Parts: sequence; structure tokens; C-alpha cells
Amino acid sequence: MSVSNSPSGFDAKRYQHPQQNWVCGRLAEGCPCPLGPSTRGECLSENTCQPRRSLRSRRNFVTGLVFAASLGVCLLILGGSSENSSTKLFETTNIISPGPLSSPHSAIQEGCKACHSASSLSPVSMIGEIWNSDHAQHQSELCLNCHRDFGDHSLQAHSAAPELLELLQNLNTLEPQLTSDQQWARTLTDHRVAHAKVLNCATCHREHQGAQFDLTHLTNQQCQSCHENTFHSLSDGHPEFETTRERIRFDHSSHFEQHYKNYHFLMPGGIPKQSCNDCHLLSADGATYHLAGFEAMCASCHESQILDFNMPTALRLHQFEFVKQTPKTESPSTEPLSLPPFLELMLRADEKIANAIEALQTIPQTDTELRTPLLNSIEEATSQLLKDLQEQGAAGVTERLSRVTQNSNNDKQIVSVVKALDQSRFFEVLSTNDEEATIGSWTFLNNRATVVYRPQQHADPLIKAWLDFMASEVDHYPDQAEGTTPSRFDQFFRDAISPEASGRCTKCHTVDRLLDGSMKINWGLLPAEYFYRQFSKFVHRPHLTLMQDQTALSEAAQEDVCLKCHQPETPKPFFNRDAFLLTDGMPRAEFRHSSSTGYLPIQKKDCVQCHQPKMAGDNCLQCHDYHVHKNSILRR
Amino acid sequence: MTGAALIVRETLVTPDFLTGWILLAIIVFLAAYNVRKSLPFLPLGTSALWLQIHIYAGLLSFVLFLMHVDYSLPHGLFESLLATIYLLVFGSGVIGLYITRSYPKRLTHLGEEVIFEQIPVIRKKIQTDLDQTILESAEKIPGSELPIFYRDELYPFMMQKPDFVSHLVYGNSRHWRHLLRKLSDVKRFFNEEELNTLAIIEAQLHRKHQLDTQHVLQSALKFWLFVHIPATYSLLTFIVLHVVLVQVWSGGAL
Repeated sequence: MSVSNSPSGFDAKRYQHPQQNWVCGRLAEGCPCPLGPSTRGECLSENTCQPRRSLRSRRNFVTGLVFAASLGVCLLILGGSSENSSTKLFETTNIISPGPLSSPHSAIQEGCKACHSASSLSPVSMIGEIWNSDHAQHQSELCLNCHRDFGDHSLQAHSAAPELLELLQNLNTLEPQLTSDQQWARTLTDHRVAHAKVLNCATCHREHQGAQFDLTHLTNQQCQSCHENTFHSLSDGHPEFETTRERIRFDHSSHFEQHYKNYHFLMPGGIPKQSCNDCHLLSADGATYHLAGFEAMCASCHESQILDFNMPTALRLHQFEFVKQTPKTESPSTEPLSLPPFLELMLRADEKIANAIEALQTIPQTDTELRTPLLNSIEEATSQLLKDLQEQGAAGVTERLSRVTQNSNNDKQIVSVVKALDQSRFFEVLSTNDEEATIGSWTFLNNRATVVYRPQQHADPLIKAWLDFMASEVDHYPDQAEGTTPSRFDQFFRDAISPEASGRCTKCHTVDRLLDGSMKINWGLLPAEYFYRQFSKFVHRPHLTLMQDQTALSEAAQEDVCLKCHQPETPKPFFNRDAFLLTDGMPRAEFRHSSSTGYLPIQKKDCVQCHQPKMAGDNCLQCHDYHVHKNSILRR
Repeated sequence: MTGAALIVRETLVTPDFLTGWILLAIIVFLAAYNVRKSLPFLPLGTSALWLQIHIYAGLLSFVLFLMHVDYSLPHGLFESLLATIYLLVFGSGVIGLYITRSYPKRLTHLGEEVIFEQIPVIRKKIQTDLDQTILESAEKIPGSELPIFYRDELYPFMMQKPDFVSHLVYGNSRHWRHLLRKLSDVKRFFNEEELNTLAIIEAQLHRKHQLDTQHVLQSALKFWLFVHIPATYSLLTFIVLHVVLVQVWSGGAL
């Protein structure tokens, strides 16, 4: 039943507008004054009452009160979050923390300031920093206070040098496979973070997600969000594995199939290897295999080649011949000037002599009138050099090498050379008055008026130091532009790694070109950190265990497990491989940067058998490390 | 927008930033509705249109909020406080939506519209009329028990404040139902003249009861804003602090 309230005597003139801030104090009693209160809340009637706030006014008042309280709380929190705030009443960093830290970081004692540069900002400057991106980099730099092993480009993509990133991008040959989601994501976001000057740690590592949160986890899509060339999964689109060149040249196929079978004839004293484990030793963490070393693996056959004095040519010792007594000649030789590299570098420290040596390269050998004074000046300089070195010793060599080096930051290599010379007793030989003498590895050959050096063992310190010094000074070799003249160091390095070079080191030790254009000889095993700071990683042990379980193989047949993935190539005829053709075992120049292990590349299909989403997983980070080691190099 | 956030989840750009900034824009727009109501003279579209958009934007904000908090409760104290205030604003908004869509229909069924601020005046008028009716009855019917019945049973009902819960849930109060039973019981003790007077009194009591219902429903229509609007301003304040903290402390997460 509805009843009309219209006859209730509503007086429109006494209508209380909702916008009014004050109402009559007697309104609640049902008998408000006809005049009502003023706009300032004063009673205008004779029978005064206490006007009351209207409903809207009370709501505005409550709103203002709540707003003021909220603002106060915010200011207190902001003030309390700063380490340096003078207005700090209490600690509020626990209040603003968005969640518990991951287990590794929860032990940090310094509090927020250990990781957050913002904690040192005052509340006012904190507000001013909202649109300033520099503080983000400062925060990432705080991460690096503890995580120090990412090298000089820690905050670049992959912690890699820009040059390396550029080279990698230029290697892209894949046709991108993009899902519709990835297409949209690239439209919505700028995926080219690799171009960013700084890629902050928090881009990938999101903290405050709880103790069990894996800070390093990223999805495959997130990994690929920066990459120009993408693919759907390991099984669908991932490129086949490339064969990487080992640091030590060793062709398993030819050794097992040819050399070991014929070692009685080739190397009668040699000890052929029977299984993989004779040379490859599983590391303690089960991740990788270490090589057993030269003595265990190679020495029985190859040490004699290194030490053999008469192999292979008379020029073998050219690198380390040094004129002991300058022979005076009656008439200038018409032979082309050929100074041993070490001697030539010492003489080139004098600019006048360096010019003379250069001039002699261009003057015809028959023009004795022009050549004679130059040759005489070189003879005099050689005599003076001998005296200087006898007096100054190592300091004299250091000074001269420093003068002739192209790389002004090469002091370390020079020191290594001088130290190796000193340890080889080079300066003693220079000072001896004996007619013929052998001191250390040096021998004075009176008939040639020179001292010559002979390596005494594998990994000879002086040979190594000298080759490293040459390599570090190489400018353009071997990719020299057409029409340009190679520098003397380029020529020296070419000679130093030639088949005739003393020690024949680069028969087995490969040479890498570094990003700065210089060369680096790979002397030995890689440092342990190299293996966990490369783009790719592989842990052998669980795979071996799995395959042994699957095939019920005995330990004796473990090498068969190795061969499941490392399948040997069909061996080529002895010394018929491209890299060794036409030489006495030394790689030719054009193949100096290549070698074969004698195995076929690892097949992706073998991995895909298990590494699928619902089996062993196919997350990128299972096989790839994001941060590459600071010493990573691109092998070419 | 939701799809975009899901797609962005597959990149290194965290969807929290995307959803957060969109959520902030929507909340600022939602809060602007209150400002719009204060400035009716500006040609910014009708209030009804604003209200409709306000409702849809409010519902969208909840979806974004869920995505922003990753469908879970925040871990930090401040973020929990912020989420609680948002839920208070959203919840009060949903309740307000229900109230503003259903209570006006109930008010229409009650008869003529009564201005909320005038309810005490009308209630006073009903009481005065009842008093007058009883006085006249006492003079006209000597020895009648009606004034005593009015004093003991009916007057307390007149002076009673509305029972909010009964009116909101049942549309009437238990006191009114109790009173109707009493009136039914005592009618057999009164003569015809007294019954005529009692009918007038009953009609006035019914008006008072309906006025109580008007009061309760209109109070609900107004008082939900006492939560919604202050909580909105509080939310905006805390959001500003949240933005400052996230921008300065997040370490450059994209």
C-alpha cells in the first residue's frame, strides 16, 4: 500500500538545498527556523540554536580528514624510508618493502642501502628523481659491488662488449619465426634492449618475490624478446649446433684410425691411447671434461719434435739468434738484409737505425754506394747495443722494446719477455768471454758470431713469452687489406708461427683474433670460470648417468656412451686433411685458424629426444648462460 | 588492454608497469567524476553519461588491479594497505551501484518523493496531527481508553528511530508488524466512534512507517558515498607514493 506524503505540508520556500553547508539545529526535531542559519553557520533566529553541518558538508569534512591523514601517513613513510633523512621519525623501510627477499639476498646485513641507491635520497630529492633514469644505473652498480665477475661491460646486454654484440648480430642467418603474441609484443614494446646503453639488472632479475623465487628464471619468450632472430622451440627452429674449434688441434679420427694403428713405424716410443678416459678426465663437479695434459697425452710421440735440434730447417732458430760479435766485412754484402727479429727490434729502438733498416729495404742490392754507409751504421749500432745490454741488462731490453711497440699498453708482455730472457740466462751469455759456451738454453756459436736459443721443454717460457708479445703487437694480420704493407710485427708474427719456427708451437696451439685486432695464442686449458661464463653450457654427468641407465652399459663400455653423441668422422687419408696439406704437419697459413676434432658436430635431434617441454624441458637457460665471461672471445 | 598486458608478459617489459600506469589513468578518470559533478556548468557531457562510463571504467579497473597484483595478495605492508584501500573503494562502488540501481525503484513504490532533509519536518507534522487527533478524541469520547492506548503503545512507536536492517532487508520494521498485531487485538474493545478515530491514527502511523522506510533507503543512497569518496582520495594519495617508490626504488625494471 502506498500513501502519498504530499499533504504533509511541505513548504518549498523552506527547502534545504543539499549544497548548503549548514542546516538549522532544530531540523532534527522537525521544527527548523524559517530563516535558517547563515552561510557561515550562525543562527539568524531570536531563539538561537546551534546550526549543524549539512550531510554534504559532513561528507566533505570526512573526505578532507581522511585525505589529510593519508597524506600524513605517506609523508611519514617517505621520510622514514630515507637513510639520510633528518626528519626521520621512525624506520619505514620494512613498510615499503614489496615482499621478502630471495634466499641468497636475505642474508644481506646492510639493509636496503646495500641494493637501493634511493635509500640515500632525501624525501624531496626522491620525488625529484622520479623521471631521472640515472638512479636505476646507480642501483645496478650496487649489485656489482658483490657480483664482480661480469667484466667491464656488466650492464651491457649479455655483459658483452658492444663490438662482440655487433659481431654476433652480424652472424644472424636465421629467418625469424615469430608467434602472433611475439609480433604484438614487438609492436607494443621496444624489444631492442641490446641497443640500450645500459641494461639494468632489474630488467631480468625481479627481487622481493619471496625466499623460494628463482631470480634467474626467464621464459623462452622473454629470452627471445630481444633477439632479432627467433624460433619457436629447441625442436622447432633452433639452429643446428655448430662445430667449435678447440684450442688445441687434435684430430681424433686420424689419431685413432691411423696414427695409433701405425705408431710402431711412425713413433716407436709412442704410447697410443685406448679410450676416451685416457685423456679426458671428468671434472669434480661433473660438468665438463679436463684434458690430462701434454705429458700424459702427447709427450710420448710429440715431445721429440719440439726439442729436435735439426728439425726442420736451418732457419728454425732465426727468431732467437742474437749477434754476439759483429763481424767486420771488407765489402758490403749484396745479400738482402736479414736481421733476426729480436735483434732488429732492439736496433729499431734508435730512430736513425730504424730509418736505415727501412731504407735498405728499398735500395737495390747492387747499389753499394748507398748501402755501405747504412750497413756500417747498423754494424756500429749493433756493437753499441751489445755494450749497452752488457751494461744495462734487462733494463736495456725493456727500454728498447717499449720504444718500438705499437701498443702503448703492452708493458705486461714486455715484462714477460724480459723476465723470460733473464731466466733463460741470456744476459750471462752476452757477458761471457768464452770462445764457445752453452749457458742455460743459449749457445754461443763462434763461427757465426751469434748466440742461439734452443727450447729445452714443452711450454718453453721464452718462446711462449716472445710469441705472446708478437701476437699482442699484431695489427692486421692475417686479414690485411689488399694493397697495404704489413707492419714489421705482422711479418714477425707470420714468421713466428710458420712451420719453420722454433718449437713449432702453432702446430697444435690455435690462434685467436681478439676484438682489438691483435692475436692470442691458445696455450692451454681454459680457466674454470670460462666454462660457466660462456653462452652455452653442458653438464656431462647427468647425461652420462641417464644414458648408462638407459642402455645398462657397464663402466668398461663407457666410451660407447661418449660415442652416442660424439660420432667420429670417417677418417681421411694420412696428412690429407686440408689443414695439413703440403706442409710437414704444420697448418698452412690460410688454415691456421681452423682445425678438426675428427668428430661430427653434436646433432640437435639427439638433444630433442629428451629436451621437450613436458620431458626434460627446453628452457633456453638450461643450456645457455646469459652473462658471458669478461674474457670471452669470439673465435674466428 | 588486458590482452596487451598478457602479451607484454612474454617480454622483458614487466606487465606490472603497463597495468599500473593504465590503472592509475583509469583511477584518476574515475575520481574526476566527482569533480565533474561539482562543475555542472562545464560542457563535458551529461552526468548520466559520466556515470555510465564511471561504472564501466570501475569494473575494468578491477580486472587491471587483479593483473597488477598478479592475482595474489601483495606481500609488503604498504602494498597490502594500498590494495585494501583500492578494494574498499571498488567494493563501496559496487555496493553503491546496487543501491543506486535498486533503491530508487523501492522509493517509487512508497509513493510521492520525499526530500531527505525534510523527513524530520514531516515526521514532526505527523506527530502533531496525531496528538491533535487524540486530544479531540478524548474531549469527544469521555472515558475512552484510546488516549491511554496511544500513550502506552502508539506514542513510543512514533518516537522510535528507524530500524535500518529491517527496512533494508524486509522493506518494513518488526516494530511496525508488532504494532499492527496489537491494533488488530484491541479493536474488539473499542466502540464504533473510537474505531473511527483509531482508523485515522492507524493511517498516520502507516505514513510514519513509510517515512522511516524513505529515511533508511535515502540514507543508504547518501551514506555509501561517505566511504567511497574519502577512500578514493586516500587511494589517490597512496598511489602517488606508490609511483614515487616504484619509479625510484625499482632499479630500472622496464
